[in-house]
Amino acid sequence: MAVFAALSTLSRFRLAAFASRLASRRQLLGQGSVVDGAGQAAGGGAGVRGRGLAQAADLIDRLAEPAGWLTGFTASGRFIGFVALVVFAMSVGQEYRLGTLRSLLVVEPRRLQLLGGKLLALASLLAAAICVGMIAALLVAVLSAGSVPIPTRAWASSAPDAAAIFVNVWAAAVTWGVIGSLLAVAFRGNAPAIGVGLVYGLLGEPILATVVGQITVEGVALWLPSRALATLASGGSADMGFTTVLAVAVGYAVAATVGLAALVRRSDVTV
Amino acid sequence: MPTATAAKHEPANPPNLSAISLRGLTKVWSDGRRAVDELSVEVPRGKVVGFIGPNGSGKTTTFRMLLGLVHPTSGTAEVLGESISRPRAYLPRVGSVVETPALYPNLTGTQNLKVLCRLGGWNQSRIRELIDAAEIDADTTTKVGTYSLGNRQRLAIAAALLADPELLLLDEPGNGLDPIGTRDLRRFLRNLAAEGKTVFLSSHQLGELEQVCDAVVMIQRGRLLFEGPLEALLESGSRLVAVAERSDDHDAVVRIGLEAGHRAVEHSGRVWIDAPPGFEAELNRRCMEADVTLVELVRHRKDLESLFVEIADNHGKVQRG
Repeated sequence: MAVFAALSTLSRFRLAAFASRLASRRQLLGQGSVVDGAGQAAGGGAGVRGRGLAQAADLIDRLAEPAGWLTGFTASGRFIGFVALVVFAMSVGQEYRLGTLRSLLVVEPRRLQLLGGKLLALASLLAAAICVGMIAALLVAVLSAGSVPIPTRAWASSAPDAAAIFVNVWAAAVTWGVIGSLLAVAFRGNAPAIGVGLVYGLLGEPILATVVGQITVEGVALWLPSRALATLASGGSADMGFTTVLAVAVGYAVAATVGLAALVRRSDVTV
Repeated sequence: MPTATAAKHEPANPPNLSAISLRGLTKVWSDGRRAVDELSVEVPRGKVVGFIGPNGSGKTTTFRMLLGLVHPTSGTAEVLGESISRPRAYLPRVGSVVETPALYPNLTGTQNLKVLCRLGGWNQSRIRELIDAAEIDADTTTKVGTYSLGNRQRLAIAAALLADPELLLLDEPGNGLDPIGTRDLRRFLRNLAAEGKTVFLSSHQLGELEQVCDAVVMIQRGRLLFEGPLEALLESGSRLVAVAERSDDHDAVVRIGLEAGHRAVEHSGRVWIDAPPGFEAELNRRCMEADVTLVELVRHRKDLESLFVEIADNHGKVQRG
């Protein structure tokens, strides 16, 4: 997770650096500012270039914000969620695959207590991994900031924003983890759980979102789990406010937890 | 051949002296298959009791219900005086090995035992002692994934003893053990019973069970076939074998056996009479009255395996010893 966070952060700084050099060259050549270029819709080619430069300018502005060094990190919220799904599914599913679940239940027959302990341990591991990822992002951001003319003074006051981002990313990832655990218990193994989870997240939901959007209202797709949790990790979006997306994510977390608890409590352990 | 009667009687062990008490225990799976069917059994405390049945007869399912892993469809059961609906009340006093050893292959033998100790809140100081007692000849600091089946089985048995349990439920504990290991296991089980512990074990090695068990429970298709002391089972399946001084007299011996109401047949130069213990003296007396001299009169006991096959083929009329 640290490596991915570092790479994600590095990519944004490289993009910002490229955009900055391009903007400087355009100004030297008297072609106006980056934003002016974006406003000129003289033709398809100039318009596309303009929009790209506008987005790059927007990126530079965001990198200068207090939590700018975490821009790359928050954008990888969906990936972090999938990692959490895999880790949780593997950990829970292997107890079925190895048969060790029966050994554990004979020692600790309170199934919900055993499950709760396992989820707590995995959530703690996830928190630690996210911390490491954020530290990696910070290091890369500090090292990369020199190559881009981005004011970094605001970063010094980023602690509250960083804490909020940590909580958002962690909450979204834990929800994915509980979903992964539910799939692992339902399928009594890790491989099918991971397969179903990733196929849904990567392929199923985009297809479903397109279909649902065409059949009903377009914005309904935002309420699907993968989109909603990614939006939560980003702290909300223009399409869905933070409070709304938090409520949606809590709904998914509660539903997955209740389903998981019911399955664990009632099912026969035949492994 | 054991008599086939469905005798009703008082249980050999009143429930409060039973380590395990099953009353009408039944398990029907979602596909409608009855794995355990109205099973009522008493397993006495401080004994080694064998649990015998063909593959798919419901032995493992019964173990799993006793361990709280599988929910029964109907019926009740008690383990060490506690209902199986409250496994936490008795499982701390129960050790078990069910089917293949369930261990973490990427952890060492010692680490596997430590995981269970931490979960159960047990003292880890017993780990070394149990590993030595189990005579695991693999390096317990290497990963369990490299162990042989026999060593994994020994480690699983060591894990079952971590909490110094009062009751051991062992499903095929000799699986994978070599003859020396089997002998050690036999000795180990007898020592446990001598310490007052109860062992309820299943095995397909009926010859081994015959040497170690005090009592047996025999099931087939989830239903009880026999329950009682092993001696009673072996005696009930025994037959008298008589050899007359003159082979011409064998017909007379057969006639004496039939007149006494027993099944008698001549086979391979001997007369086989399905008579209960105690008929020897009467047979001898009647032969003397008939001027028949017997040169051999012995009671032939079938082994447990033969008896089991016979009872199973008899389609399971319940017997209690």
